[in-house]
Amino acid sequence: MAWIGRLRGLWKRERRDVELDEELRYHLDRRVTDSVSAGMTPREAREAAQKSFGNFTLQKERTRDMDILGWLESFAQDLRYGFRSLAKNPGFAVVAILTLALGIGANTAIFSVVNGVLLKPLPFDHPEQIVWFWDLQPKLANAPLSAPEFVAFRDQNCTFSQVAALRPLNFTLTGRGPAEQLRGAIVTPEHFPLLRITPALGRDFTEADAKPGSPRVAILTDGYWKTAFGSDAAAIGQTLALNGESVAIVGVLPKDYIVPSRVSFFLNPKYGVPEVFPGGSDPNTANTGGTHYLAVTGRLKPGVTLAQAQADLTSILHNLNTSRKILPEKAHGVRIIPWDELWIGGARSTLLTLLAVVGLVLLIACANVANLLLARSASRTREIAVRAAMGATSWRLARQLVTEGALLGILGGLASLPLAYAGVAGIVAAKPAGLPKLFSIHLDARVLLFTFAISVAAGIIFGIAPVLRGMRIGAGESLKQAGRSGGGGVHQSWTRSVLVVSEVALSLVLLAGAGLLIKSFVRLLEVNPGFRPERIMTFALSFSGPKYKDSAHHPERMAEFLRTLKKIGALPGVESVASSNDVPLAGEDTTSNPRILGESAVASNEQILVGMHIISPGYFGAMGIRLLRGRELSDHDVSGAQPAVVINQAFAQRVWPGQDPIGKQFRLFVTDKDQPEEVVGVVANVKHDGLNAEDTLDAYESVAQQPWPYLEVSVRTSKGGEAVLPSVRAAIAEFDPDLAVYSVRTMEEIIAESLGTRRLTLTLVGFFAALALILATIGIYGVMSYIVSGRTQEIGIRIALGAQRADVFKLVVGQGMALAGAGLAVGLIAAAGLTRFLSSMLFHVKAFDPLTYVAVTVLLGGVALLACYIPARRATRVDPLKALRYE
Amino acid sequence: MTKTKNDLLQGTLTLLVLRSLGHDSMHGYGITLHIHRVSNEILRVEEGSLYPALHRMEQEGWISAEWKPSENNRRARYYSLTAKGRKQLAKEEAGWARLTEAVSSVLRFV
Repeated sequence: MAWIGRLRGLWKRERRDVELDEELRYHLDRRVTDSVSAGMTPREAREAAQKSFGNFTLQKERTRDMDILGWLESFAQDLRYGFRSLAKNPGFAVVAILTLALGIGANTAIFSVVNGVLLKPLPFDHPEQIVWFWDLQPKLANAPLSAPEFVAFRDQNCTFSQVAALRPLNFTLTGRGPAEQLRGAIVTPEHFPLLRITPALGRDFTEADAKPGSPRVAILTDGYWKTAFGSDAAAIGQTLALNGESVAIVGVLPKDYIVPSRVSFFLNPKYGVPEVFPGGSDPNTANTGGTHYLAVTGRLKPGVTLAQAQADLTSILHNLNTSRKILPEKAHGVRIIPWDELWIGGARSTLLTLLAVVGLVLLIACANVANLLLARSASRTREIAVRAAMGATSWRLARQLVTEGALLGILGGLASLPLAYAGVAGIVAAKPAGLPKLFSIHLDARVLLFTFAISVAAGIIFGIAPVLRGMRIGAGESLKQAGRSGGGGVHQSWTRSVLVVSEVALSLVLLAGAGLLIKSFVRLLEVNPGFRPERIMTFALSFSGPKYKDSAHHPERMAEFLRTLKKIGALPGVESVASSNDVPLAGEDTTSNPRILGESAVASNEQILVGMHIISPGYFGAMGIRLLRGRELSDHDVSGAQPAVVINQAFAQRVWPGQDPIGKQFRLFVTDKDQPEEVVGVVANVKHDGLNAEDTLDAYESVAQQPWPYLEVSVRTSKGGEAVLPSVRAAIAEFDPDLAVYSVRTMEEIIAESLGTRRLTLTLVGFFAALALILATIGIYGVMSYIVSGRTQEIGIRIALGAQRADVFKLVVGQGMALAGAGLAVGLIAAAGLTRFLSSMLFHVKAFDPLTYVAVTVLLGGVALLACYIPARRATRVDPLKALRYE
Repeated sequence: MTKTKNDLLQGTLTLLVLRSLGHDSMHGYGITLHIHRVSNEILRVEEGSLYPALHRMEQEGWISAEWKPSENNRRARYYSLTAKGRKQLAKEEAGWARLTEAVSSVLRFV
């Protein structure tokens, strides 16, 4: 263990230094004392002593060099010996190194992700100062902010250097080829100074740009600048026609700037604060105080804590609520979180689970290699015994074995790097839903250090197994035992048994976890979403181009659009078509707090949150949503007629339980219609927020009665979206050639996206559980083969004495299955304890699901039986004569 | 006590130290005193070379060291011979014997 000594040497360097100093001082002082007793004056004595001793520091250095040289030499000696003994048995070395490479590679890959997502700070200047603002509503935690809230926070705080607001919006770009839908973000001028980003070209937004009425200007992202302008500096000063408005380009962002959510450019706000919709009204007016749409970030002043800033904001919001006479039970709150936490989101628990899973896989790999080392050390017993008899101390032998283990570990670590690299590249390339910060996931110095550390740690873990054994068996006993190879002593077979039992137990834990996740996933996919998702293709349209500027939601224009939808519905290959302002499960719902008119189960000071869906007539039939009561929305529900809404079952039960909701009235918050909305029908609940979400309250109103600036068209096809897309595009172009068809997706993609990290977790846990199963099988097989070969002589005698082959078979299988059974039992207990950490990732499955546990136990038991079968067959073929002559 | 004598000592320092530690453990200063005394005050260890040599020999595993209280009640680092060191001593003694014999032979040759 020379290298441990070396490490200890480094840690204890100071102490060694002090000791060396003391040793040399002692010498000098004795010389002086002796010289004085011989008659010298103390001064003469000291001078003489120093003269004969030479430069004290130099002597110290030279002496210390000797110590270090000694360490290096004995370390090199151990390493050389280790390499030699590995080279002597290349088969063993390859199997051991590959096993370790799998275990370590899995750990390195997952740690790269953990490192990138959880450990590395965001690539901004002092990212720890940047915080994110959440609005807390009575019925909705974590909402965006309203304009008055943002303005109050920005202007009244004393704890932030900057507070900035951002509103991502889609814009129709015309005049540069075919009409194109682009994502832009309207930001306040504090945005880039807050991030400490300055444009690579041109200028940043200024205070003047944020003055109401100032002309709109754009700063391009590097990516869009490259695609649209070929990275030409002459782009500055050119204009973009966005929604029919000419916008001057004033700047280009640096290349390394991380762009949020596919944004192509940034714009200054029209009214000092970003508007709700492009070309919308001034958000500073009182009416929009209820609209929460702003993404707000702030940079803390240096030295300000999160708690101080939180207190500051809470008191500002309290004053705002008081001045606006908002009832306490309806008042909103505010909460700030580190920006990094917003990015990480729900990925933390997933990643920590995965890290635990790969940790278990590595332990199984270590157990396998420990078994191999044990088998090998048994055949080296004679060599070791001879060395011990020749005077090598057990310390020296142990140090040798552990150095060999560490060497194996490091070689395994090196071999794992290509695997880890491929794994990380695969994960990043797959862009799994729910995995944030992909840009910072790669193998870096910290990951390599981690790999090195676990390689060495793994090496020590399995290197110790043969040491324990070597320590227990004295030299004399070893020499006696060495006569017979294999079998090993009682101690050894005990160590091996423990290893096999733990391998089986660990594998069972992993399989049980994977089984529970698979079952949850299946349960989730079995959830009735309330609509038929088969063969639906969706795309988005935005009525934000110049043609919609004045007659934005002109009834005639809408009627013509609805006729276009009908044309699309009649195309060959199209079964049905409908439009809505959102797509179920896409996570883009608009919600509102309606005011219920008349008697209801909602208290007067209570707010309910309702999803607002602006649909085309015929939407329910096209989507396969069941009508339960009343009627659907029809072509007669048009502007000017009584506003008609259809609500879902949950809405009816919550607001008017036990009553017929048809004919009841309420006012949706956003509308400024003369008449309130009236309920004309009830439909089945639809899982708008996610398959695992609770039922939401929903209201549906016709797009002919409730204007909306964008919509999503859902086309159910008979063969698939690809085939009909060109004719659909043609129909839209006929309606308006400047209308861009964008965000084309299939329902399958939307559902996959809505499952978030579940798919990733499931895939990886499943993969690692399979790996564990394979490793455990190899482990059981290896041990059983070894035990059988060690008992060949005994089995031969049994057969010679008349034992039946079947008895021998039973004997071997029985021994193997006893170990496996013990492992299964331990594993079941451990799994029952550990799988509850998964409960947040489970869906409609209990952490202790009997069926899953039985299934994985049977699977693992079956595999163990298979692993015992081959060695048992070999045992039955033992030739008694040969076996007795054996050795 | 001229420079030449010290140079001679350089090559045989290991042998002399091992021999000195043959009976009893000693600290570095004690070793210089011992060699000085038993050589009838002819040999004197160059103090600058002694400690690097001691630590080198310790790393080789020929001698081991431990802190013990010394005659003057301060603690000192005492060195003692290990089994390996004893073998090394035998080897070095044999080598020395061969060398002196060879030198004598040359001197006797007329």
